[in-house]
Amino acid sequence: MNSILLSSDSLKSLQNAAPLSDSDAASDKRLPRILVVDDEVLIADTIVQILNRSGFIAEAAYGGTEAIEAARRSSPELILSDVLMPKVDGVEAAIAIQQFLPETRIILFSGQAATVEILARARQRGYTFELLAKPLHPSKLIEHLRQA
Amino acid sequence: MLANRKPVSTPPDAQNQERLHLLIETGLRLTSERSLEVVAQVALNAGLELCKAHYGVFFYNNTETHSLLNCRYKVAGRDGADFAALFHPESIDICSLGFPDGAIFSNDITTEPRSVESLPFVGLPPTHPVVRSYIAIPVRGRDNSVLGAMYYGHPLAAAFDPLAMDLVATVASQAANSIDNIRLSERLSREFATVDAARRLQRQTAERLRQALDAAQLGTWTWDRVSDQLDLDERAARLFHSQPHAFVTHTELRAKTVAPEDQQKTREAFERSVTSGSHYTSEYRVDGADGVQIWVSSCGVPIFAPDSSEVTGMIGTVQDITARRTHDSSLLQSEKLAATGRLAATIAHEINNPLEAVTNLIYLSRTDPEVPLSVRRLLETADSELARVSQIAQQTLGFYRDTTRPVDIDLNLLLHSVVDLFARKMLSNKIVCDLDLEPGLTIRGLQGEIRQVFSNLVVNAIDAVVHTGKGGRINIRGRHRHGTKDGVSILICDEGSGIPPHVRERVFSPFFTTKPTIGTGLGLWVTRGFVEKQGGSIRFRSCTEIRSGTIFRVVLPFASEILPATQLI
Repeated sequence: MNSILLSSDSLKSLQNAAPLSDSDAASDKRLPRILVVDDEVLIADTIVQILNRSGFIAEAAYGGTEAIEAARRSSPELILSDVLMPKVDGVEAAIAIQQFLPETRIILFSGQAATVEILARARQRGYTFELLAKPLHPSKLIEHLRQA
Repeated sequence: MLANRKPVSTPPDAQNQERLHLLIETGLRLTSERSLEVVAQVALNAGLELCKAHYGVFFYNNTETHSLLNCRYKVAGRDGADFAALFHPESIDICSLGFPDGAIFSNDITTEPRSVESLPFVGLPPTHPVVRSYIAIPVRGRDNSVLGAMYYGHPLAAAFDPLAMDLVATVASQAANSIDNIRLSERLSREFATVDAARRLQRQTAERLRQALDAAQLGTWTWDRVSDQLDLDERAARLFHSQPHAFVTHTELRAKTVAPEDQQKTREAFERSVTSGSHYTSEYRVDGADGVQIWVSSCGVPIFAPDSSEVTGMIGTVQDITARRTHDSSLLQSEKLAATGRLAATIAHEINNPLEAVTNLIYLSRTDPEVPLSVRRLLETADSELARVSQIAQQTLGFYRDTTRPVDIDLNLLLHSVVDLFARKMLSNKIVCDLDLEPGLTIRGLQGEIRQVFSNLVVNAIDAVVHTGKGGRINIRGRHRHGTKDGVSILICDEGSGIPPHVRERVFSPFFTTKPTIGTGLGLWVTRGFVEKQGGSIRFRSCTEIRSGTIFRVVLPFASEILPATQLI
């Protein structure tokens, strides 16, 4: 049901997408291409749709491994990733991606209190990531992502 | 040679005079003498002089116990040295033979038939000086017990005059008196020593008890059932704000000092132990004169009537256990906190994800241009209601993160909007809120947290006024503050019921609430956390008297020195 509802936006590929003619995207400044990672399909898809409507070029990935593949394929400028995911979690994926995309801004996005400890572990390994708490109102998310 | 020594030339009267003098002198000397050895020697010498014997020996016991080891002797006479060499306590068994029962007088003991069997000089070594004239006098104490014996001898037969034995007996009785006195005084000093030792032991025991009571900080009390009078020592009196050993009844003291909520509990425990004759223990709170409540533990054992199971009173101890209680309760509290933390962490993920999804879905729906205006309005309301849910979830689950960067916050604007938020609630409870704010109260900090601080304090102020049931005012005053740290000072004053004294020190503790049905016990705890994170401070003053109310003062520096730890990791 989710994919039907959201199919029009989420299936757009980052590689061939051009900036939308949405009012939010009217500025000259090119907005970053974003990879949205969440094992909850509904969250990943809705965020992708919201971002695409706001002038970003967004794509969804539904797990850590997929995220690494998608990042390798499309080299996004920004990644918004959930933390707690089965198999490869958000922090592991972020570290892996950061190794081949050192310029990419990676923001972790979590509803878990334990995330702080996970991030501390990442920092010990030399990686620092921004963290946003779920739930975050879409307008605030957009505002945050527009800040360079 | 021995015959020459006989004082034939002295006339009997002069001789008697001399003897009398000697007796008196000896008597005086012996009365004042405190050494057994000297007494024996003085008495022996006097006897020798009086009976004109050649040799004398005084056997006596050194202590009251008769035994060979305790047997001592003194010798006298001109051949005393030879004589002395003969006697070693180990070599004579005079003590085992026993002292003579009565006086023995013999003009020539070599002719006495009984000397063969029983006289002490039988079997004497060959070197022993010759003895023919012989006197033996037992020295008897007041209780007729034999303390020793005096023996005199002379190498010639019939050498002693008839008076000699009486004279020696007189000296023996003087010596007996003296020995009796010495023994008596020895006994007395032994008894004194025993008493002293007992007293010393008693002092040590009392001291040890006192130290133990000190170490345990124990006060003691005794209670008499008939009069209901309670006798408190100094420390116990201090715990109950009474005077040591003052006249006070148990019932009266309990009514006056035990916290109302513990009155029944202590009374029942006490009565149970009086009725059943069992140990009494109770832990309860005592209201201090200064408004500080302490916890005490009281224990007692019943006192029974002689040969009866009837309880006539009780004796026990009392101890301040506030520290332990506080420790216990903070332990409990931190356990509670940890458990709640785990629960929050578990729930957080389950709630935050669906919230995120629904928020996104509503956002997508209401920003869809095809949605009619009326539906869009409904969706906007749903969005703002959902925002409230999100905020509550974040706060109560302890997962509140202000992820924004510190910004300039116009407190005038912020405080007005907080008050506006609760305008309806205040109106319906007849509460008037006055804002008296200096213009330009701007600080740099985390907007969400600062808003939370003031909305918590305003909500508390409203609840306090609502509690009185008659409405009232809330005043909010904001001023610039200059001093060691420039900043702002915000006062939130209510005319509510005030914070009771025993609650005051705990209002900032997590999970402490006086509003069990509506409070989480986290409001002020979170508030203080935010204020301190901002580098500020929060204090309050409260009054529960006739003009009751509470004033909270929040002081915030212009710029927060602390970057929120969770913002960038």
